[in-house]
Amino acid sequence: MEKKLSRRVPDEKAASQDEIQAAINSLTSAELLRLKGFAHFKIRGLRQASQGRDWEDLLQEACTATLSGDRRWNKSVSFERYLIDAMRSISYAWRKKFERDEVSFVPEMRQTAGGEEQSILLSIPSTVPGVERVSISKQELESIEQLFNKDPLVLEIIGGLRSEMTGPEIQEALGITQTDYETALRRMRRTIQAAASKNGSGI
Amino acid sequence: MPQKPQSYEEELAAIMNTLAETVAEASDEDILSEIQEEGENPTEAAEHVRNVLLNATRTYRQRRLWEAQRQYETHISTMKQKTYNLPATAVEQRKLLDSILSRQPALRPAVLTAQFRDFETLSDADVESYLKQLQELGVLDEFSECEDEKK
Repeated sequence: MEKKLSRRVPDEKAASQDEIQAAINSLTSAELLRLKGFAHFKIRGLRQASQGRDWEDLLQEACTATLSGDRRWNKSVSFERYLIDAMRSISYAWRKKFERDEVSFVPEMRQTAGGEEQSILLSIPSTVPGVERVSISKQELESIEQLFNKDPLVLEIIGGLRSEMTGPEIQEALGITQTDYETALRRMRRTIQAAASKNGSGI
Repeated sequence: MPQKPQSYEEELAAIMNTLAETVAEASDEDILSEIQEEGENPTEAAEHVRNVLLNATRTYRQRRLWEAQRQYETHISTMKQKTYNLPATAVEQRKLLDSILSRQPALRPAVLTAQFRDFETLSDADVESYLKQLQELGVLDEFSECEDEKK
């Protein structure tokens, strides 16, 4: 896909490969761990659309795309912030590709040369997730909610997120402040992280 | 809480993407303390992430070197298989290259690199190799045409 020239970072602002290398070496521990944490949750959000890729793959893809010139780091932005934006974009692209490439199998009756009716399976682009994907996602949602069965505020927030409400909308609906909301999200994140560490890959 | 139909996958993605954004906005203190709560050493965990990035840069550079090497080897292999219209003897080949460099001095720096400053120090194999490359570039044919026109 050609990049629109008007949106491409100009050469004088784009980092060179040496500058990228230097930036990697200069990242602080907190920045590195933020990158890992962000990549981890983006991959979890992809579910099967991750196609077996993990947080390391997402982070490496962001780095490789920058080295190859597919993406350009504008040096006026911190390298950490740039990589987060790149991973956001890449994970979105992975999801869209997965949805485009997924197929369903449907039976169709065809007539053979001898005039007999025969049922064959056709693969067609799928517009809805398969039964297995639905079941896995449903189970994971239930597992997450079970973690917070003694934390009604977090359960309410989860309900709001499931309903596609934004942060401000959830805060207004629940009558809580932004600080309360962010504190609850932090609690949610730590609990889910801890459960994932305990159970291995998934929750 | 208003309910809106949405697939389970989308709901899960909404939760995880929201949590991803909280990580992006988390303070250094929160990030470091969370790692410690999970029983990990923050410095070691961070260095592992740095190595993931450094491995990406190493792999990228190696891939480019391999590709350049592969293209060079393919080019050399192609040259070896081709038939070149060169003078039969090493002496005649050297005379031809000398003539070309005299008529087209712009080519001299490319042939007489820092390693081979003196034309006489070029080996017979080097002379033959340069003539083949010049034929690849069409220089030999152009030179032959000029010589024919003068006759």
